[in-house]
Amino acid sequence: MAINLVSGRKQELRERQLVYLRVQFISMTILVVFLGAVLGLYGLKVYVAHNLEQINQDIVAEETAIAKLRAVEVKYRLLLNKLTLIDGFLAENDTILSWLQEVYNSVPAEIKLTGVTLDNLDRQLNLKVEATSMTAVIAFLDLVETTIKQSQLYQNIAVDSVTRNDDGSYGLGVNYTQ
Amino acid sequence: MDYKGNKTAIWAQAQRDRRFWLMPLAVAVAVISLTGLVVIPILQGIREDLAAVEKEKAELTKLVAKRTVLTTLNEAVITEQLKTVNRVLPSRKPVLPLINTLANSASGAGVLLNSYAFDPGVVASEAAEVKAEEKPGELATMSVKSSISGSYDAVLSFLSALGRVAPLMYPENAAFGGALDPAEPSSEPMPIQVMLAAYYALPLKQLGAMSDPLPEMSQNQQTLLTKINEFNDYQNRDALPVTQEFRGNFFSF
Repeated sequence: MAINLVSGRKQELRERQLVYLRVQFISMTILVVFLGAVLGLYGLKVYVAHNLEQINQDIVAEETAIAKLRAVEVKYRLLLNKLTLIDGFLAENDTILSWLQEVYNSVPAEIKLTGVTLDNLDRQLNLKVEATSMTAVIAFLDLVETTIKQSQLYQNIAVDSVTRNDDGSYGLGVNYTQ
Repeated sequence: MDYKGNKTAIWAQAQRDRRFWLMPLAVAVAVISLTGLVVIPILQGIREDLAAVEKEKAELTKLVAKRTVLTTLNEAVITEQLKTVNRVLPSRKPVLPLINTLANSASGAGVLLNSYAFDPGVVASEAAEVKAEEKPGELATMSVKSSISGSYDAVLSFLSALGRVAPLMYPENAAFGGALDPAEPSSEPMPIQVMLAAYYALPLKQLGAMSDPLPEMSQNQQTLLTKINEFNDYQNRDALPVTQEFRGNFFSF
């Protein structure tokens, strides 16, 4: 009986060869897939860079168009700036004089307004009144206080002088501050 | 020893051979090297470019919006509106227009304008010091001390009117004295010292970045424009006799 040991060895070598081939195939596949991914990434980079370049070109085009309209922009910004300043100024100052006019018009007959000192810089107003009776003075001051609070022009009210004159009339100085 | 069908044994045998590892190792080395040398820089580049694309897109959007607003503006209309606004709030100390306006407003209100004196404001030997005080784009004032006389009503009417004239003025302080009884107005006009502030604004020096947004004119600003268009403007009327051609700014203080 003959035993063929070479046949088994050949079989083993063939199978080992197959294993090497399989490993090489898998390795090559991994390498190819990896290289494909690298190429894909590179393509993406080129695409994004192209996009960026395109946007930059658009920006330059827009800036050129805006630069051509610079003269209009200068005038427009100046206009808006001045309108804002005028608006702020009028909002702050438009009411005080009309309020003073209102006060003057509402002075009752028994009251004499003897002095008005207006200081817009320090936001102060000083009224001096004379009356034959203290009740009239207080009634007038109540009226002023009501309108001043409505107008929100001044927050603080302080009586700074009270006098009784020789002729029996009363004098009162009132200070209004913000 | 029978290897037939014993794949595990075959694989085990194969792994003992150098040839088994050669290709995988070469591939691993190539992958690792390429990852470090090529893939990571590419990924970083893509990330940076994507961030730049986002940033530039935002910039482009701002620019497009700004150009759209600019193209809708009519330069002739803006120029005309700016002229109106400049009459009310000039870009430099409005000395001559102020004299005209003061004289005409006083005359209109029935007030006697006795005298006026301009406060020169900041005076410095060094031009740089004066420059330092200048604030372009902000409200600046020039003080005018004036002496007027008239009834309380007339004076108040005169002062009220100053808030609606070109150039813009406003009393900084005023002191009324004497008989202020509306029921018994004094026959004598009372003299009043008034410190007036005339307003101007130096033009903006910087427009900002190219992509800085350009706001549209609000409804409130359009209303204001109409309102100031109706402000009394006496600048074309003479208050002072013209003796010679004006050849420069005498009031450049």
